[in-house]
Amino acid sequence: MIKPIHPLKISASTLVNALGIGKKYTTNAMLGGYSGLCRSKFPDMNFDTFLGLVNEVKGVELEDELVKFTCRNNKLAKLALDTDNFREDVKDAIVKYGKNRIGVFLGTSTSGIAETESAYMNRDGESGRLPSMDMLYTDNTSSIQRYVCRSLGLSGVSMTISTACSSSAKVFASAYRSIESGFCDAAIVGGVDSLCLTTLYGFNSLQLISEDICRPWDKKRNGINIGEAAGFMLLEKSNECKGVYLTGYGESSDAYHISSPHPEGNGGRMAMESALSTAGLKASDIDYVNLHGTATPSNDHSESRGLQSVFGNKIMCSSTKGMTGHTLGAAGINEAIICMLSLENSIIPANVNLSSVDDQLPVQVTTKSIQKSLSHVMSNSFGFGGSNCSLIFSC
Amino acid sequence: MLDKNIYINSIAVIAPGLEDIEKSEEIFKGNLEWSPVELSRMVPSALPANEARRTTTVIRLALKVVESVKKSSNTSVVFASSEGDLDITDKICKALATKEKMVSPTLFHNSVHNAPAGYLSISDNMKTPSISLSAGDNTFSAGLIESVAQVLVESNDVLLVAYDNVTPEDLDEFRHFDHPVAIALLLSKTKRVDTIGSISITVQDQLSEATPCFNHSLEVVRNGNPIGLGLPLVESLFKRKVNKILIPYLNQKRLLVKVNNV
Repeated sequence: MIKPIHPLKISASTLVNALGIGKKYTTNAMLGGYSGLCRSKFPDMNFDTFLGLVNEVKGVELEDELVKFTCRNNKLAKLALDTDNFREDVKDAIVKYGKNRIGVFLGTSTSGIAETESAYMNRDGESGRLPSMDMLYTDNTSSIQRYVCRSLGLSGVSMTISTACSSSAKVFASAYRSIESGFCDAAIVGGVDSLCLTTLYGFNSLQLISEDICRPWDKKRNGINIGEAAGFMLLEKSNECKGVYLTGYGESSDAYHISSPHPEGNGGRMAMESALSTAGLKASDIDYVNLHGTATPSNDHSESRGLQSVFGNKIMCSSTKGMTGHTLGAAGINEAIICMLSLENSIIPANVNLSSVDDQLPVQVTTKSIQKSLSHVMSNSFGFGGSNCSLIFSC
Repeated sequence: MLDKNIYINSIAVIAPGLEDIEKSEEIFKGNLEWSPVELSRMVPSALPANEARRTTTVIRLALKVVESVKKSSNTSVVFASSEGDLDITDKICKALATKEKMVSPTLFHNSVHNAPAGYLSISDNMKTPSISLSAGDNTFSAGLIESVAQVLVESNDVLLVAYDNVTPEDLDEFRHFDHPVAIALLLSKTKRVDTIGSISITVQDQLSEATPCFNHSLEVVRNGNPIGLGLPLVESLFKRKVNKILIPYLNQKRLLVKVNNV
């Protein structure tokens, strides 16, 4: 029997994705129902697809004393830290809690691997040696966590979670556990993933990339569009009634296949049910589900079966990956912030790019943005290796 | 909550010279000097043949160290590795540096940091949550913190699997480890018949040096791989000795591990 958790308040947040630099651009797209994806090229990429690019990352320079952390992933992180008043909000939290008592829990899948890719393309012509690089500060999975701690002046417990596309959803569970067990009093959670050739060519080799714009839940869906994003939240205990709270989380493993989801969505179902238990809610209490909805034939099929077993055929849901692309290790935080914006602005965002309904899917998505007062929303994130996480946010 | 004792019910270590269980117990108790003996070939015996064929050395290292640990269907798993699979990084980056950029689909799906978690869930049919994390050179401490927090809050058994392999040739000058090292600990909230010892952990400022290995011949293993930093804790548990161990942690901090008899 899972016991309900103590809710954590989201007292600050910031988001950067293909829709723009700051949460307001994502809110506008949720209201207007439009996409930030573009048919575009990435250096050294020689196939066609749509990408969720953040072009502004080019102009970013890291702080002088942190210059050895320089890579696309940490530049994207800095863009987000400098947006939505986040740095100032964290400074206030440091005054309140002290720099040692704010934990940092971040997710990424590929970190700064683009630096290593580039080194292999620029070997010394004579010796064949790779050019000098500092892998611990760029390529290493924890580069993002150590950069963010230094950039924000935090020195509490911290870790980087890397469970493919559920990475920055699972950070909420770890942050909750660390606060609850006394390792910290508040936490920064978040995730950053940036475009790189490893994921572009890797997903392409698995034939999971669409050359068209991605169409989650569509009958003709044929794969993902990769996007990049950075998002952060400050979570703390609070007895105030106002605001948006993390009220539930659920995690599970498929134990089925390393890169295909369980066809009946069993892993997703367990994660959703467990999230409902920790929130102390029934399925009928959930007003909206932000889907994992990647637009691969297998994910959307599996997820819709899992949804049906938890909610029946009637639940308001949509995938927002048609707006931002699949931001992989940052998808959890990207969509957690979308859920927070849904609650704050009373919007159910449209599932964009849908052209033909797939009547094989037992649960259907909303095709238009709807204005509706919401109390409880769920976000699903499922990753390779069968790593599932569902989160519930409430206001 | 942090002063609560967490019980350790199983320990497994894999590193050169620490593969033979009886011999390594004598080394951890300080009765025998450590000497490097090359690791034998690891075969993931619990996986279906099709899946086993696809595993890499790193995945096999992580699976091998948990083979002897008694897991249950209620055990969740914390995987902790600084680097994950740099052999794959090397192979994918080599492929990306060619004109055709043909990345192997198997290499790509194995490249995720949680690949060992996926294979363990399949081999042992474990549908419980698992997490895969890194904290650079302080990955062992971060894994122990997450494991203890999980035991305290979720109340289920937690298996910590910490591992890092040696680095492939092209990347070795940028991130060198002397040996492969893997440590597995099975933690629970309550004492059991198979309990070896109990621990409580707190994070504190770096006021004194980290605790070295009691068996000084093990210092090269402790210092040669980020996971080696867990060895003084392993020694204490094997010696069944009340002890305070300081393990390096991030941001100039130490993890203070109090080891108690049961």
